[in-house]
Amino acid sequence: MQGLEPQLTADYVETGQVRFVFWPVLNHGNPSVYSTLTAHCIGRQDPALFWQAHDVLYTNQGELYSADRDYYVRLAASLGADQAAFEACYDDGSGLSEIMTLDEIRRERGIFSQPIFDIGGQLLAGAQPYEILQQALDSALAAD
Amino acid sequence: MKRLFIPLALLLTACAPGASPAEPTAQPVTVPPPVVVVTEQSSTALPTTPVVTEQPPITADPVVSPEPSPTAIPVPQIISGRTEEGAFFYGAPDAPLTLIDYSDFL
Repeated sequence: MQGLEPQLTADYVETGQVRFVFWPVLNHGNPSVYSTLTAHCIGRQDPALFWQAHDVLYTNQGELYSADRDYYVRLAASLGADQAAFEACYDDGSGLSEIMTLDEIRRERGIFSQPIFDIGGQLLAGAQPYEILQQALDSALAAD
Repeated sequence: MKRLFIPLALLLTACAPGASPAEPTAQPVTVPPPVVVVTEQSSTALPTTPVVTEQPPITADPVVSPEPSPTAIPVPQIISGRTEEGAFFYGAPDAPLTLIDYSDFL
């Protein structure tokens, strides 16, 4: 989804038609858990920072399999997050509890792979070209 | 006799009362010499002859750094927040349509 977000944001989010939600799917073990935990702990300080972390994590996707705690602390600091608050969230289990709850909810919703796009209740599985997302979004908006 | 007379005459003239040093006058204002930088010549040049280079005069005009030109493109402010379950969103909370991206950073 990373590559399509700028276009989708310009066409649908900035125009007030769509609210975009990122829902974590922790399907790759600890690398999934700790990268998502990092984004959530940063986002706790400021939701806008979550989206910055989201972009940085996708951009550096190849590094996440070997990333350790120090890597994520540096990432948080590079985005201007408060380091002590970030480390507390990362270490005390509260952030972990949040993302595990979200992961449990998506299982209850029948989501077992990623990416899956839920567009007004219509599910699109797998990476999609922008035209397909556009059709689904326009169709859902017209139905409202 | 003439040989002895000339040095004797000069000696008497020098010792005469009118030949005392003049009264000290006010010291003239001394202007410090320009600052110079002495640098050693390279080993290929003749030794022991320093190169004396006068520094350019210091001007009174302050150096003004140019202002950085703005490069950031203004981005519309988009609301971001969290759903009641705790997932992060951006966009108008009351937008007619919600797109949920179930995904992973890997």
